[in-house]
Amino acid sequence: MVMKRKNMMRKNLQQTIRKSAGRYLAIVAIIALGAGLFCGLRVTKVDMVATVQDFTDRQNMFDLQMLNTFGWTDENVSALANTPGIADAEGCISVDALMHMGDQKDNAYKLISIPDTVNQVSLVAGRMPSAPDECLADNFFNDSSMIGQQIHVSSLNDEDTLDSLAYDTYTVVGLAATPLYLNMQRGSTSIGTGSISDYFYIPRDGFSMDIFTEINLTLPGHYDVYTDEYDDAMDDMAETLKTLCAPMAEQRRVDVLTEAEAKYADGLKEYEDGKKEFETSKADALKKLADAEKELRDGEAELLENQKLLEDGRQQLSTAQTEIKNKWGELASGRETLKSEKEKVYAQLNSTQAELDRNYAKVTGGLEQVNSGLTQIESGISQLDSGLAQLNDAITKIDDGLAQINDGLAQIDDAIPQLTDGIQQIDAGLAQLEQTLPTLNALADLAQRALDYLEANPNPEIPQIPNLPDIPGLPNPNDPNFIEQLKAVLQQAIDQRDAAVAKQQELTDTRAELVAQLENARVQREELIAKKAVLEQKRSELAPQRDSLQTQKDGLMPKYNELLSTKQELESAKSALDDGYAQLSAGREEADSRFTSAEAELKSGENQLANAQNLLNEKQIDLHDSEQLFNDGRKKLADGRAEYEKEKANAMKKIDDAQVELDDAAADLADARNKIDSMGKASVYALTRNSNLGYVVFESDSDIIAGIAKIFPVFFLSVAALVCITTMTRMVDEERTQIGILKALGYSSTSIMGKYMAYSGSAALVGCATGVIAGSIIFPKILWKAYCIMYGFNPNVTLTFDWGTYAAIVLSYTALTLFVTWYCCHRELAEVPAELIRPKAPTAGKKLLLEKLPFWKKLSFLNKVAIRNIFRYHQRLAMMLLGIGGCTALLVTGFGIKDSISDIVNYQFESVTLYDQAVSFEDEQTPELQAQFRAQFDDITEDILFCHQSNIDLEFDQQIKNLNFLVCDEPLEPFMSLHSGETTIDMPGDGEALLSVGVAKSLGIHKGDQIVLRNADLQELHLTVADIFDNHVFNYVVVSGDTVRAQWGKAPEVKTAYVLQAPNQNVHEVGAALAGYDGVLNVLVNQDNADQVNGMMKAMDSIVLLVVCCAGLLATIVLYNLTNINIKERIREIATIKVLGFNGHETGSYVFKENLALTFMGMILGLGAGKLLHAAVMSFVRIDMVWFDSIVKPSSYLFAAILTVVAALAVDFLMYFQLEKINMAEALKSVE
Amino acid sequence: MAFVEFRNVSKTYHMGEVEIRALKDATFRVEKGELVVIVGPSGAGKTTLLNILGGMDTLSEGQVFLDGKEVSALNKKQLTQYRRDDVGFVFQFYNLVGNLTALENVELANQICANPLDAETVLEEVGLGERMKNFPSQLSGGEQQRVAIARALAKNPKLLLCDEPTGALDYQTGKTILKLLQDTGRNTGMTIIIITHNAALTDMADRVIKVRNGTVDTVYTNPNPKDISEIEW
Repeated sequence: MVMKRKNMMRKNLQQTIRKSAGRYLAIVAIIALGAGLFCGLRVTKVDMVATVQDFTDRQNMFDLQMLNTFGWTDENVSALANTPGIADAEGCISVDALMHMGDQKDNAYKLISIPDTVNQVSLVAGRMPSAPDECLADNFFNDSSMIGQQIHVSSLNDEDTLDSLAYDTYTVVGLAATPLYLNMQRGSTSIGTGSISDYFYIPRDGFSMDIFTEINLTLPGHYDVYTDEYDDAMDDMAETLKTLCAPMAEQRRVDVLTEAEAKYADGLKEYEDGKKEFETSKADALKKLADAEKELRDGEAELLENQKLLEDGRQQLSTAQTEIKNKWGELASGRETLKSEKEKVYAQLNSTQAELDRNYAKVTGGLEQVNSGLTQIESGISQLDSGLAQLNDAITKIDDGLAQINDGLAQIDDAIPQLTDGIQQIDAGLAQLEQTLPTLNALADLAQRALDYLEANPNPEIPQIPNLPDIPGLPNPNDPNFIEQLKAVLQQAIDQRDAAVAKQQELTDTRAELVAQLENARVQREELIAKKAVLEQKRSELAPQRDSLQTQKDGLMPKYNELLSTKQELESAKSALDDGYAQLSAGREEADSRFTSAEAELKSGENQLANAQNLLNEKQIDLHDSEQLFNDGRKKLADGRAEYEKEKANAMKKIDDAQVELDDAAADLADARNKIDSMGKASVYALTRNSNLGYVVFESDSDIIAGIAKIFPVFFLSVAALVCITTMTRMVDEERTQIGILKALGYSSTSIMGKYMAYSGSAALVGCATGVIAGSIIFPKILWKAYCIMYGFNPNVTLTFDWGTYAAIVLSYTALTLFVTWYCCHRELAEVPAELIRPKAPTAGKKLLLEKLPFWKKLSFLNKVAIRNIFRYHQRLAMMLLGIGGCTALLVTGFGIKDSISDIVNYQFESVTLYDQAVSFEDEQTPELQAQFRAQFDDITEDILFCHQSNIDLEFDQQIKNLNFLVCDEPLEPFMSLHSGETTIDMPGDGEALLSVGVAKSLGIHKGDQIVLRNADLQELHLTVADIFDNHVFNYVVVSGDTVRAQWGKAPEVKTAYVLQAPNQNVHEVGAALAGYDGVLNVLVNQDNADQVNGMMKAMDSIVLLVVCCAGLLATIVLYNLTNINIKERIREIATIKVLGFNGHETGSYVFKENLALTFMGMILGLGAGKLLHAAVMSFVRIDMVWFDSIVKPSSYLFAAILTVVAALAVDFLMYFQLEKINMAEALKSVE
Repeated sequence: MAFVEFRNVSKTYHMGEVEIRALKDATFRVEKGELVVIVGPSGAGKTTLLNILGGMDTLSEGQVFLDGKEVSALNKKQLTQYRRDDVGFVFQFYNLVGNLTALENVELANQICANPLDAETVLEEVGLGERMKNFPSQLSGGEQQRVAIARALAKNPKLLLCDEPTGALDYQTGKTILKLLQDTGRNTGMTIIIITHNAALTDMADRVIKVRNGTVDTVYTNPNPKDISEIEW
């Protein structure tokens, strides 16, 4: 049964974990994050130190290094090796030399003899040297491509250095790391650029020295590095060894001195012999030279006299020549005048001519233009005229046609009435005929019949009619002829009728003709009228054309006239110009004649002079002959002189050379004497590892991480606790009924709680395990990688396993989660089952104080719900504020660290310590020595300030701090800029001191406070702090010389000089030059300081990144967990509002509004908390040497806020999909 | 066309490899203004039917119409709008938002829909005029269900869906709630569908739909529905 129950509980637990995997993982993750961070930061420092410990142990790094100004012999080494209390002792040679590879420039390298026991090198690549001219190169600055390269010793090295090396060229066969140089700095030297660039390890036989420069010692027993125990032990041993070695060193001195004295004595003797020989041969040579000199002098005197005679003749000739020359000059000047006058006159004439030509051209051009204009216009006019004529012709023709037509018309019109009249007359005639015709016809018929009767009756009886009147025409019957007469009359009647008929016929024909004529006339008339209309149309068309042509012609006329008048003007101008030409030509003729006569005059003068010159030339030739003779004599003499001088110079040179040789020998002797005399006491130094830069710097570098490790874990632990509380509370709420049932079934409270304990406990254990493993492996590796930028001795960090820390972490986290779980469960478990089975009354909704405020009513429901919910669940509120606030705070801290450290190096070395080199001297520098030093380096330095600098203890409020003591009478500007913010600070007055801000802040010293300075001799200075100045690297107290003089009676020794170099100089080259000066102990190049501090700051970058990443993770875990729980808790509510018809967006804002509000509140808190956290972290990471300015820039706050909001939005975005997935049917389910 | 119509509706759930047919070929009609009781034993498919009609779930086959609109053809977004404007829900466990007062719970619903009724008036109508400012935890079960009914009514829906509205209430309180629903139907002419396993309630309905094993077993109309006060069970 027992087994079965256990199985059931375990199954239940597994089920629960599977069902709430997200929440379970959140607990695991937050605990892993916290544990990992704590463990990682804790372990990294330990691992770093362990890495050094491993390396120094493996390579048997020296514990003490013995130096002697006279070096050490093999005997010294074996003496030390046999001294009890010393494990290993090994002599070692180290020489600084200028070397180069191929054609590259010389650099200063440190050459060290490969040791067998102490300070062994660690071969990184290649092999160990097997021949004396092979070497190992520096592994940090070189890669394996270096192997096989040859390095050459430069001829620029001094004698001693060249003597100490057995070969000119060494071949690199491998790369090696050495415990002597843990970090990247290689130190300074007095040669080359002043700084060592690499080291090389050379076999002992590669040096041709019989002494060692140092002895490296290790002590028996094992010590942990960087412990006080070790430091104390070494300091003690150093004192012992110093005493022990003092006699050895003294012996060394005596040996060296003896050897030197012997050498000196030999040299001196040689010198004396040489000098004697020299004196004799010098006297001989001088006598021979004096004889030759005298002979030459005599010849020269004779020559001088002849020369005088020649000189006179030459003088006379020269005078005559001068006269002729003057005359020539006059003539020439006359010619010159003539020429210039001629030029002037002709120039004037020419200019007049040119003027005339110009005007003439203008006029001619004008005329041409006018003429062409005129021609154009004329041709235009003639064209117009011909057009007009044509038009007029046409019009006239038309008019003629019209007149003809009109005439025709008139004729026709006349003819028509005539024709009509004719017709009428004919008609009248016809009508008459018509009337008469019947009568005539009747008569004719009668007559016919009568005739016919008569014919038939040729003799009718004729009645006599008495008294018958005689009727004219009618025959009188009484007449015998009556019948004939009758017959005639009758025939007449018939003829009359026939005539009438004929007439009628005639008339009818005539009428038809007339009618035809009339018709014809009418047609003709119509035609004429039509023709007339056509002509008139044409005429009306032509008339305007003519008019327009006329207008054009009229328009042209004025222009034509104008051109005509212009032409006239131009022609008159042209004639005026012709006159001008005539005048000009007259003037030219006059001038020609004038100049020709003047020319002739000049010519005759020149002829005369030429004759005189000829005479003179003849005399000249005579003189020249005499001179020839003289010169020959002089040349001979000069040759003799030259030969003499050459001989003399040869002789003198020989003498001088011999003299120089002698002087050199004397100087050498003097040097040797001087060296021997100045050989001071032998100085023995016993150096501990604390004199090794890499070893010392490493400790402070690793301390930075240890500082940060102190603060973050507490923070993460509390967040983990809160995550656990919310999760467990929710789980107990969810499983309330189940708890009730289990209780009702008889399970004990303990066994029920066991499940929850197991749930959270297992999460804690898994989280811790993950965190511890990841933290103790990943953190050191990542951070070590960052440090490897500076440390090259081992690319792999030594991982240590600090079981104590692990146990502490696991215990603290597990205990915490278990306690939290108990806290969440114990209330529920105390209740009776009946109560538990009933659903828990939901947290009552309640009104907030806020609702009494007037603005409440204006809020939308979503806002009201959000605000009520925020304050309804206190736990969640607290957790959200802590989680989000923590995230923001971490981000502010991360960015703030960057802000605080990024600028200090630049600020320090560009705004505070402005000098380029600091020089320390062996002896006090008196004003005379200072002047000498200044003069010596005048060309490469701009300014030099001499002052006192030493270390001194500052005591204030029972605290003591060692700092740099700077005494100076002159202002420190421009070597150091003393200022606080923007305000410049004056040099301190009597009894006053200036303090750097770092020491003032760490000791709590303010302006006006009293401080005490105490030096190594326990002399005290009581001072008032006059001001505090900005300074980040090292601590300083500045006091005036007068103040010290007043309190100590004398000013401290001036043994330091700050140097501002001239522009465009290399700091290291200047440093090297300064270091070469007699009496200079050491030159510190400020740039090297800057580089060193900068390197240290680089490691901080990875820490910032680490913090930012952790913050992001933290925010995501907290937000995810809370939102997840929030949604699970309100799943019915969300389903219900979805059923009510809220769409996805509205549902999202219903839920996330409060998330965002909480995020915002947390963020605001976080910004404030971040400032505090940053200040706390900065105070933990304080390094003694460096004062960080604890500032957070506004942009960092902004970035922190933005990143927080982004994280919140990202989580909300993810959760949105979870909301989408909620099934509405949830709303129908019963309350669990 | 009937106000509500189910045509051959089937719903199949896939649970891994198992297929569960929750509804098989369900067909029925409801006229406007009717009080309908859907009755059947647990697991008969009542809730599936309600989910589909309420726009909370989709069907596998068939068609569903409400007031001429084909509910079964709506997409997800349209379904949300449909739930907003056309349907009111009353749940067995009231599902009030604990952090809002009675009045605010009602307003929560009516602030998102198209033609809401005045929240205070509706609360007065359900008899809670005095308790508007109380939080759910300060109200009895019956009062909470009244708030839920008021919340559904305030949306002025076409259809009121009630899922076991008296399931969590005692007999007497249940009766008053049912009376409230019956009165609401009679006074406002709203179509109300009540889902219950209590067969006794069929007497109060205008139309009764009996569901069994995922199918509509019988549908009949009650010519003379009884007043709830006359029903005992």
